[in-house]
Amino acid sequence: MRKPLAPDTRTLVVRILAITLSVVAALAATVLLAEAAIQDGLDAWDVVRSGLIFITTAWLAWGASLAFSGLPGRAARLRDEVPAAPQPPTVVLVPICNEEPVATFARIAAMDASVQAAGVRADFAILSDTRDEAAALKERHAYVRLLEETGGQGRIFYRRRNSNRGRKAGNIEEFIRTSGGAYDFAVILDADSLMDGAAIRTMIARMQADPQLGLLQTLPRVIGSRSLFGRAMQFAAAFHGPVFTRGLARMQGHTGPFWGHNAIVRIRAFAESCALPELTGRPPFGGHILSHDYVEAALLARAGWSVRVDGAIEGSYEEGPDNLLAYARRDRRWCQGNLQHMRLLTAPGLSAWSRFVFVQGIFAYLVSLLWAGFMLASIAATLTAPAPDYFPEPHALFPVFPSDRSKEITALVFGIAGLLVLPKVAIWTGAALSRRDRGFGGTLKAGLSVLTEIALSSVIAPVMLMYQSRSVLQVLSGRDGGWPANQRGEGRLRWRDGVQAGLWISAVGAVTLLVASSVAPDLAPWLLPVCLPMLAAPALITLTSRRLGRSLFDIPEERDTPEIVRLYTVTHASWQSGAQGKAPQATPETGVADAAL
Amino acid sequence: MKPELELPSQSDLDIVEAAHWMPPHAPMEMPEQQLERPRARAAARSRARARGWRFWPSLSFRQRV
Repeated sequence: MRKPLAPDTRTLVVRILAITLSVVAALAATVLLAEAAIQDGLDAWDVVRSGLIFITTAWLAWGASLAFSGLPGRAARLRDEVPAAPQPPTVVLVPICNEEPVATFARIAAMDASVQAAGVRADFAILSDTRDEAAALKERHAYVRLLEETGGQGRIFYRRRNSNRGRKAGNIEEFIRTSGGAYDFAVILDADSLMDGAAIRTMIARMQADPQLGLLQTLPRVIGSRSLFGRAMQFAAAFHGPVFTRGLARMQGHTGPFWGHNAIVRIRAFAESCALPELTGRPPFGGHILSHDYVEAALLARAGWSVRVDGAIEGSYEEGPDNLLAYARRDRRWCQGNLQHMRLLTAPGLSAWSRFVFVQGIFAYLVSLLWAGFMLASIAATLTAPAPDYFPEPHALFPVFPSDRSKEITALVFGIAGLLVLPKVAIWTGAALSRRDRGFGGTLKAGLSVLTEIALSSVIAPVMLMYQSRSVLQVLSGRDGGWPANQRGEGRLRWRDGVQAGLWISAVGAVTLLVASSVAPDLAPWLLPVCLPMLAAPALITLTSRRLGRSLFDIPEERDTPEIVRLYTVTHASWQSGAQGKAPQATPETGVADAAL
Repeated sequence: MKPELELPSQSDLDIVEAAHWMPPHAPMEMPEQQLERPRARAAARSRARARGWRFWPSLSFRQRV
């Protein structure tokens, strides 16, 4: 086994700066809180609160440092890279499990046309883990139609496993065990992924050019969202995502991320280092590794391969959840998968940074519990605080009032809010200067979208905090949430759905506010920004799932629809309506041409 | 509403997977990776035999059978 690649100087500098910023911000927050908290004497709750504010602020500052690391400079466009001849054999893997077959196979038809237009020779392998026989039959019909319309016999394959051992990771592993020797590279997709031929061509060229590169991850753009929630997420991913990803790439260096799809792997590297064992014990901590992608990236790095992310590769798309409940359901799965990584923190041979990445993933969920703990500790500290002593000196003529520490608390609140808001404002400023905001409706409209997204994410944050805290407690107490299939295309929610899903959050918010008002009235106003959105949880869940026009949250893909998206839309519509005819053809000049309807 | 797919004319409900549907047969070795240290693995096994791995044994929302 080769040694993990050492980080270069630039990567080390970025890491040191980010860690320094996080520690300094956390220390400043802790000092401000401690100064306010210990004016009536130091007690155990003050120590707990100080510890919690240190950790949570460090986490927020870490997120901000990712954005700041990605701000300087602009990545070059990479669309024109061409693989050297002879082109290495490449396969596009599409693992599916109980997906809607018309949409899934229409995407493959579109990608096949785009790949051929780009002059890339790539096979497609649809790897089905669908267990339901009726759904599997629909898949087979859709596959036959796909072959008919693309002429894809001999280059578009379909196989269904007898058992779905290891879920998606096991599905890909089984393909590599039986067919991996036929290919040099595999592009791994999700059922809702779309990648154009030029993007795949660039990725192959990059893999060819760097023999140490084991995996190259792209940043998929979220497309197709229609609701307020979905469009806000879609905008944030398109506007802020590239900067955060550039920061991530600079910080992670050779030990980059794998997000499970829209990435290319070197099959030899993947085969020699990524066969995942089952962990001892039962789920949620034992059994199959759920968040397998993080682990596969760490194992590739352990075996001496480079893992990179490049957000500048265009033509990579996916769909996102269109309402808060779908998001929370996905988050529940990710929460269990990330917490399972606690078992892997001491895995032999991993690089220190890979372990740190696991810690970050675990923390992404634990931090909700820590914020909730901070709130409860603040209420407890107020409850147990001694009564003010206005005459500490006997026989004093004048009372001594406790010094006012509102300034420190206000500074703390603004500092924490600043860590959340400043990176986004900085990204907006950068986009205005570089004119990147033109694709987002111009400087003003992009600015309005940024502010609205900040407001919306602030309002739904307490609701998400509750869902995440519940998920963490469920996992820590041993409850396995399984890994149910995504419910794609689910959008508008009824009021009944919102009330059913959010009533418990309203109840927790009401109780918290009532208790705080009765036992610590001074603290109650500070809790309002958290408790009011909790009270309104059913309304937030329902209303944010409602359709939003293009008044806000424009993204470049809506203003100028990418060819691959247009091709997929046309193919999907054609298949849905049952229209017969040849599949849309792509042309080398444009990537794709209009569908022959 | 789920979209309906019109069936291709030559297929019927008894559609069967054909040999050419399968990807090429080109086996590749994929050695299973070690992620748990042997000692931790043995300890975890004995715990698993007893009641399954659990991060926080004192906090249980449901009774295991």
